[in-house]
Parts: sequence; structure tokens; C-alpha cells
Amino acid sequence: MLLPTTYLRRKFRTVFMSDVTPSSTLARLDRSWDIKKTVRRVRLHKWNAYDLQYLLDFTIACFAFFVITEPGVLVKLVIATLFALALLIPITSQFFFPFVPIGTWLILFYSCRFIPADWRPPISVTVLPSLETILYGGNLSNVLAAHNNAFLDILAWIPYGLIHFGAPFVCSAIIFLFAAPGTLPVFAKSFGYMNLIGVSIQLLFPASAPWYENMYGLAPATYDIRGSPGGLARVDLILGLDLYTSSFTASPMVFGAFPSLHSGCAVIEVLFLAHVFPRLTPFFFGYILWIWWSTMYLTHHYFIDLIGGAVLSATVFYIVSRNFLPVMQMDKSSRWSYDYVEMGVRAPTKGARLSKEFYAEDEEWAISSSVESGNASPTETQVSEWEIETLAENDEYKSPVENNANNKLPKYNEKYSEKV
Amino acid sequence: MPSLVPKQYFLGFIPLAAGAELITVFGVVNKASGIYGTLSIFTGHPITVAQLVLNIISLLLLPVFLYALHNVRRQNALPVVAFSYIYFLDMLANLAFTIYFSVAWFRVFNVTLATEASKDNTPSIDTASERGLSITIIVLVLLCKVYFSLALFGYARLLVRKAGMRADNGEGKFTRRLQYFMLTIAPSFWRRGSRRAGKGRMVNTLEEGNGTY
Repeated sequence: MLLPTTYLRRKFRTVFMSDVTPSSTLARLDRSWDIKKTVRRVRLHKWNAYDLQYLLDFTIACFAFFVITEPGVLVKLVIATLFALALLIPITSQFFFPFVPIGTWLILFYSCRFIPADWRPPISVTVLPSLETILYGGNLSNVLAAHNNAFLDILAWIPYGLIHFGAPFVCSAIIFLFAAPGTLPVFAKSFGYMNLIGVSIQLLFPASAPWYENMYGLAPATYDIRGSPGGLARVDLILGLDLYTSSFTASPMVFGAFPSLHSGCAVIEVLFLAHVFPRLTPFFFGYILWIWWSTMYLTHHYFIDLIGGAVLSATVFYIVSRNFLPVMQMDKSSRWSYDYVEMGVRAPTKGARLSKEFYAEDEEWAISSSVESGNASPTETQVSEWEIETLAENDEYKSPVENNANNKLPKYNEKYSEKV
Repeated sequence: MPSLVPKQYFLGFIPLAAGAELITVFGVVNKASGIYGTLSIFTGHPITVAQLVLNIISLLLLPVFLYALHNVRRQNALPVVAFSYIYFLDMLANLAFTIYFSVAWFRVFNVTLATEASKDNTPSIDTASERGLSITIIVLVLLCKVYFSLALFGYARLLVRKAGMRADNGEGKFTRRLQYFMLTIAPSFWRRGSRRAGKGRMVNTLEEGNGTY
């Protein structure tokens, strides 16, 4: 009898792995349990300015560790130890290492409720509506929320309450399967840092959402006020459930209107998906317009918040796409089809400019110059470009041949497989 | 006096090509407000003439900005020059609208606050500081827009020089006229070596010479 798992595995191989290069180990996952391997990698890692991010993550995690009182010290210690262990063991660290920024963001978000009110800056109530009215000529969010009916409620709920929470997982799966190997960690980090920056801004610049204006007017706000589901209360009524009313009332971040992380998440997901499937870009942008409308319709954000989230995401994406993002090869059907990977684009460095002509040539934009034979020329290759990436990069491949002529040849890293 | 128009780096460290693309993306995102503003006509919300005009301008400029984004990415010189002019004009229009709307808003705002204060007898302390914050942010946003416009001009100039474009070497009837029109507005800005008019070539050879020796 044929087991369905065997059948599925075969089916999967015919669909995704039919054109895999026999010698390529690029897309494989690390199956090692040896902690020494991770230690060796850290030792061989060439440190640079980008590594300051780990200091930032660690500082925020420590802050959260001391602020959070709800699970006791023992539970917190156990969680921290388990996480450290997961980072040390190669087979788990390939997933948990890119997850670090996301984890930091989630912990910081959870710890918000424990931060005492007198540590926090005063809440601004009128700044956002003023900005919206002055910069966009009208109270857009108010206008869109003025007329309600059940159909519009459901239409707004689908992206705001459903897709938003599922999309990160679906996007990760799609990116893992169809993008160049190494894209998913970059996505996870960008997503994590975007949200981390967003929550930090929300903490430093607390502002009230449109539902506050509807409930209390322009009266000054205090941290005692509880959250509100806004228009999602109507959705709860329609569905006959208590999904959003209870969760939004107990939200740790009541005055986090600016920037909108619903908008930020949607934009960064869309930018990554558009990187993988450029032809579907108009469709993806339609989704952004949809979720923007629904956040305003449900009185959760002003228009300026949506712009703030989008600008944040776009900035993060462009930093990442120039420096770290593996270039898509459009003739490849899945991650297993890749036999080499190029990352980002060679940004011109300030000192190393020879002449104006040289500079101008160098300024090519990543997306258009996907595969260039010129890039493989040995004189251009710089090993340092590769070191930027992460600890998860395979360092033992490079170190023995560091000073060899070999390091000039590969524009790709066969054992790049170490990354998800 | 050093020129305010960036020569090669946006904000001093980002290559202008990337900066220009970011500026255009921000522009596209902002112009999307036109879609939502126009929706208010369909919902029957009362709307003033100024709001209507701003929304229609945004809506019309949205496809222009998208087309510009396409060209900024591909480094096409002539469309980028045209876009830098459009962005500049749009920035000026935005400036006018912002001043108009802020005057209108703060007038209404003061009245609302006065009525609320008389109703509750609880004058809020924070409103003055919040108003100051709003005004500061708006001024900063406007300054950003001015700098963005200058950066776009800088990027357009970079492309013009790279493509060797002059006012008189356009191809095709329409392109030629457009190129002539756009590049004759400030010829010394677009020309290579603008600081010393006429000696541009020489300055460049000197620079290249330094590199080799």
C-alpha cells in the first residue's frame, strides 16, 4: 500500500525539485546538533557595524526581562535559557536566529503593559488629526468611517482581522519555496526590525486613534484608559463571537496609533512578494489600498499613520534590498533550482571612487541588474561583501582559503545552504 | 557657498539613485490620499472646493508618479528631468495648500476648544504644546519635501551628464522640444562643471589626472 506521505513527497519533488542541480547543496537545511559548530562560526565571524543590531536586541530583551512582572522570574529565566539554547544548536538556530528581531518585538510589545505611566511621555490627542487635516486637506479617516453597513464591515474585517494575522506565515512559506535561498531570513529580519522600530516610535510618541476621538472627543488622554475594538465591535456582533472586543480592550498598546503596523506589515510583505513575483505587483498594491481603507473604516488609524507605516517599511526594504537581499533569478522555478546566489547590489563606497565615469557605471540598481556576467570577474569580487550577512553564514568554507586565489572565484557559496 | 543640491549622495551617504527611488515611492504613497479623498464624494460627505482640487490633483498625479518610479529605477534621463520639474511644482502647490489648510484648521480648532472648555470647565494643559508639536512636524515635513525636490534635481542632473544630454541634441520632434525647453531653464545647473562656466572640461581632466598619479 502506498503511504500518502510517500506520494506527497514524490509529488513535491516533481513540482519543486525537478531541475535541481545534482551537486548543489545550496537549498539544503542544516541538520547538525553540534553546538561547537555555532561557536566556531561566531569565532570566525568578521564583525562590522551591522552587528550592533544584536546589542540593540539584547538591550531591549534585558529591558523587557526586568519590566515584565506577570510570569515570575523562574519562568522568565527558563524562557531565556531555552531561547539561548535554540540559538546555539545549528538545526534550530537556522530558524531562531532570523527570528531574533521578531521575538524582541513581540516581547517588547507584551512588556508595554508593565511600563509605569510616569515613565512614559504624555499622550498626544490632537496632533494626528491636525496633521491629517492639514497635509491631506480633510479628515480622511473620519469621512471613510462615517457610513457603516454589514457588507462594508465584513469587507473591512477580512484584511484587518484575518489576512493581517495570517499573511506573515503565508508570505514566509511562499518566500521559502519560490525565492532564492537566503531570502526568508532577510524577510524575517526586515519584518522584525520594522515592527521593532514601529513599536519603539509608538512608545516614544504615544498618540490616540480615531476611536478615541469618537468616544472622548479631544479631551486629554491618560494611561488608565483601556483599549477599544473600534469598528471591530460591529464585526463581533455580526459573527456572534467575542474575538476582538476582549482582545483589543486588554491590548498592551492602547495609544499606539502612529505608525500603523497594519500598514507597515502589509507594505513590507507586499514589497517582498513583489520582489519574488514582479508581475503580480499591481495585485499586491491593490491589497495595500484595501487594508488602508479598512483600517480607516474601522477607526483604528488616521491616514497619516498609514503613511508613517508605509514609509518605515519602504525604508527598511530599500536598505535591505541594496545590501542583503538575494537577487531573484527569474528563470528559476523554486529555491532548489538555484546553483548560485548574488546578494544585494554593489553600492559605491565613498572613498573607492576612481573617476566619475566609473562611479556612474557603478550606480546600477539592483533589480535591473540581476545576472551580469561582469559581476563574476575576479577583480571586482570582494569577500567583505559577504561577511556582512549574518552569523548563520558558513564561515568555515571561507576561512581556510581566505588568502588563496580561490576566494576570488566563487561569486556564490556552495555551502550557503546553512541558511534557511 | 556649498550647493544645497546633492551631487552624488542623498543625505550625505545614500547613493542618489536609491534616494531618488525612495523619494518617488514616498510620493506615490502620499498621492494615494487622492483615492480616499475622492471616495468621500461618493459617500456624500460635505467637501470644500480646496479639498476637491487637492484630491483631484493627487489622483491625477498618482499615475504620473508611478510612471516616474518606473523611469527612476531604469535611470532614463529625460523622464526623470521632467519628473523633477513636476515634483517641484507639486511641492509648491502643496506648500500653498498646507498653509491654507493649517490656517483653516487652527481657526476651527480654537473655536472647538473654546466651546469645550466652557462646557466642561476643565481647560486642558496639553493643547498648547500639542499645537506646537503639530506645527513643528508640519514645518519639518515641508522642509523634507523641499530637500527631496532638490535631491531629485541632483539625480536628474547626474543622469543628464551621464547620458551627455544637452539642450540641443534631443531626438524626435516632441522629445527635442521638451529637452530644449527643460534644459534651457537653468543651463549652468545642468552643464558639467557648472562652477566655472566654460572650463568644465578642464576641471574634469584634472580630477581624473589626480586619480592616476
